[in-house]
Amino acid sequence: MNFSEKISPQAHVLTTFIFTIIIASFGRNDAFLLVPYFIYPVLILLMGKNIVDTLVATLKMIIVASPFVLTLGIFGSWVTFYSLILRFTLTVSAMIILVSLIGFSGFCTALVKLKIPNAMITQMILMHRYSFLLRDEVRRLRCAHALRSGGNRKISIREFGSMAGNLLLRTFDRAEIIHQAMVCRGFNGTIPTAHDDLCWKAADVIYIVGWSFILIIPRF
Amino acid sequence: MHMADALISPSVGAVFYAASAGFAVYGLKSIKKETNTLEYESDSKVSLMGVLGSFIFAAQMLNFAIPLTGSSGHIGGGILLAILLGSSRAFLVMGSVLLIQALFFADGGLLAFGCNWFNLGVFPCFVAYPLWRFLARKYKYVIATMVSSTIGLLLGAAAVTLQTTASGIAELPFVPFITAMLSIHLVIGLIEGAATSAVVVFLHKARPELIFGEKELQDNNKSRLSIKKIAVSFAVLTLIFGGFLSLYAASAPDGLEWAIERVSGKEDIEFGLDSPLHSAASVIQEKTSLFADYSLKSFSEKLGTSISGIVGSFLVMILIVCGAFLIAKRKAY
Repeated sequence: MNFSEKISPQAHVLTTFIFTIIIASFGRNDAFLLVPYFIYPVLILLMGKNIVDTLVATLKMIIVASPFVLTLGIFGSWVTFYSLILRFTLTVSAMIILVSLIGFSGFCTALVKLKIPNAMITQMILMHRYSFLLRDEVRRLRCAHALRSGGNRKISIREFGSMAGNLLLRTFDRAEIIHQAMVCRGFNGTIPTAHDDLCWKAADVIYIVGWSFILIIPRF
Repeated sequence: MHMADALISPSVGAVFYAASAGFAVYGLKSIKKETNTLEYESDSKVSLMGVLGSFIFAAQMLNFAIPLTGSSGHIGGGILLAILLGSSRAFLVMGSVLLIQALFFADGGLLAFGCNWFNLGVFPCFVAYPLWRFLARKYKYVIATMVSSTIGLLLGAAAVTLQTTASGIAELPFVPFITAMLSIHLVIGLIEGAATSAVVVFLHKARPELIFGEKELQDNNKSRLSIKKIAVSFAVLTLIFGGFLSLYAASAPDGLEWAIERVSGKEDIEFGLDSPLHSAASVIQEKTSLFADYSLKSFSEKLGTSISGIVGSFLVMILIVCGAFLIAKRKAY
């Protein structure tokens, strides 16, 4: 059992949330004060298993998601621009690395422990599961369209209406089948996520308090 | 249009977390009321909500070509979900969609989640959807969907601007920012509205019973939603946006004025053109322009600015409605 597994997912989520709030509390001209905060994403990156893969995925995500922030950043001084880029890189990398560290199921467990209503968590789990199935369905639809339109891959808005509508009808039918199957297997309104060994431990409290202390120091 | 953690201050994040949480509690309570039981298990819509959430993701992979341009667009989620599930359930589904977008695609963030849920959940589900129901009774679905989804998106875009300005992280002046955001999102809204209405019309033809509260919609006499209430709430919204916010906006210079001020150090440029033609033209312009510098003549400055704001907002609404009618006429359905 490595170090990260000794800490419960909820402690990781809470610490990342505290980290995000502290980063957000800096003003627009505090670019250089933000640099030491890279310690947090780097350390949780090192706690995980696939360090290189996670790093590559995080960098990709930062580049893909940055245009809006960059556009807003160019209307200001250089200090503000750097500060915005640093804030963005820090908060996004911490969040993406957190998810790769604890996994989606870990995140849901954390939400259970943080007393988020069960209806929300069940909704998230179901959605995450079926998004893979529907993604394949969309690929088949697009393939069928490409084959029938003589290689013309552009979908007109009229075709889009019936394609998305058909996808929606299939989705409704699928939902019905899924619900029947869930009821047959004894679905009682909640999908089990939290295991007993994942409740709050002393190590979690020490971890959160320790990080909060480290992260708050540069604020003074 | 997602807010990022980098753009907001903790206080703005907290306020919108609280607001969205309030709507979520209301949503959960009304679902429990609707199913008439405290147990969630008997609710067959649980799986439907989950699968429809993933449908929104999947449908956004289906890009369609935008006529006359090289680009492509995709569907807007909130209003379609509300049409299928009703406000409360759609709001919860939007929450899960936004959280997954934040976690896996870095669209949004942990602190900005409250803001995003408010902008892309509350406006489409609790403002645009009641408007849709009102319009769907009187007009064709295509018009109702176009208008309501555009207005929902514009409100969200305005909220993004307000949240960014209130946080004070980005240095972008308020007026050029909101002008750019609203004009870009007006175009996006009309395109998304057209795509969404194409789906709604298809669905209405194929399986009308899937539209939430369809029977009630067809029966005009049993209308539960009061027209007065909707009209009043929209008038109030327009008054807030046009009247109150324009006061705040007017104190900051607009993009061009701001640029001029920075370059020249003066608020207005004196061009030094004293030719009779120029002075005559400026006299005509001064007398004919209704909203010179966004103020009505013969009013006190603040009142004039407010009235200009309100009239401007109404003009935008009329423009959206006209656009929707034009597009609706061109289509076969």
